[in-house]
Amino acid sequence: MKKLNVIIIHENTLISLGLAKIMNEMFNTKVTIEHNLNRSPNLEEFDLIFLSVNTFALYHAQLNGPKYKIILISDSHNTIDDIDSYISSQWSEEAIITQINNKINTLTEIKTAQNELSKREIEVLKLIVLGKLNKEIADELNISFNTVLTHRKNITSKLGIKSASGLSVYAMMNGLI
Amino acid sequence: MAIIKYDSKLCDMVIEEPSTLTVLNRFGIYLGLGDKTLTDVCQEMQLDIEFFSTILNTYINENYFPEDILKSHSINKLIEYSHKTNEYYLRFSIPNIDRHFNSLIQRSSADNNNLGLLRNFFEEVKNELLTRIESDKTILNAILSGTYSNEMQLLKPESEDLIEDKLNDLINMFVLHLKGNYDINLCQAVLISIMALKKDINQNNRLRYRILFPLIEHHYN
Repeated sequence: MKKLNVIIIHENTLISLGLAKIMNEMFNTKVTIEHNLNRSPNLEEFDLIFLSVNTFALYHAQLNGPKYKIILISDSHNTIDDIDSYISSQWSEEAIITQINNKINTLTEIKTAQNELSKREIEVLKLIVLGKLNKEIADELNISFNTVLTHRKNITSKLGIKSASGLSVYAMMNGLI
Repeated sequence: MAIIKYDSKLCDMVIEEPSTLTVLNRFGIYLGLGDKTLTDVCQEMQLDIEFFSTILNTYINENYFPEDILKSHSINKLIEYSHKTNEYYLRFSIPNIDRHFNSLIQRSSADNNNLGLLRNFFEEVKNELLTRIESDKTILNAILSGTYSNEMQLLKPESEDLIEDKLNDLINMFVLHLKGNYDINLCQAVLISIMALKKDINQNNRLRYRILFPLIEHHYN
């Protein structure tokens, strides 16, 4: 599996180094630590971004895109809206690792879905799983019969799954139904 | 793999293509092969060497088409071989996958729904395979006992292909899409046993569709 490209931007050197150590020991990652807050790294390049409350405020302008990739490092419960993951330096090592692991799993799922099936293909997949015929799928989505066939071919090619019952299992495994 | 000839050594064949062990098993040939050739083993076991080499070569080589097979009189031997193949699935392959799957689920995290879903999917494929085996048994026994009629239909390749498609889907779900925590060694054991079953079914399908079905059609339809 590809290494996760991680950046830690925090004014506290000890917290950054401790977190980098955890990331290197527990996860398959390449960690970049940024202490110089005057530099402005391109956050789009990273798979996972750790920010303190202060650095979050500093980088706020460029965080609209990669917001879902952020874990906030916050010692209080004073978290920020729209950021659903945070860790505290007060937590146990186990709690920190669990929280990071959950975030990585979510990110991997988002990435897999993005890489594998388009939104339209997911719609077609859901209808296949419901047992709809190609003609019915075409009518429901207001697309041509041949387009449905193309979507089906792409779904099978991307997922490596051909049978309708196999696709149902995939949809259940991924919470699509 | 190269064509197996009458003077080929069976030990070389097994080392190069280990899946042939299942074919040897169905002919009652044990390991400890020494440097015996196909001819040596067939003499010792009183096997029809032409039939045995046809089975082996069709099993091993995707592009092998036996010549003049419709002129042969080996339909009873083929039926016997098909029964042994099905017995192998019933007695070994399927229980082996079941056993490993049960252990995998018992020893993996209860909150991983993926494994239960894959288990159910395997049950579906297994039931289709069992249906095919039962159908084979009825029809092939009817041929052996002389009660076969044209109305009896061997399960068509279209429906059987679904079994192979589904086994392939199952393998891809493990390899490409499995998530959550699980016992990696047991998971590997399940996957390898499913892959072995799929490979054996694919290889035996060549015997089924290139030899057995044409022979039945030739003689009875």
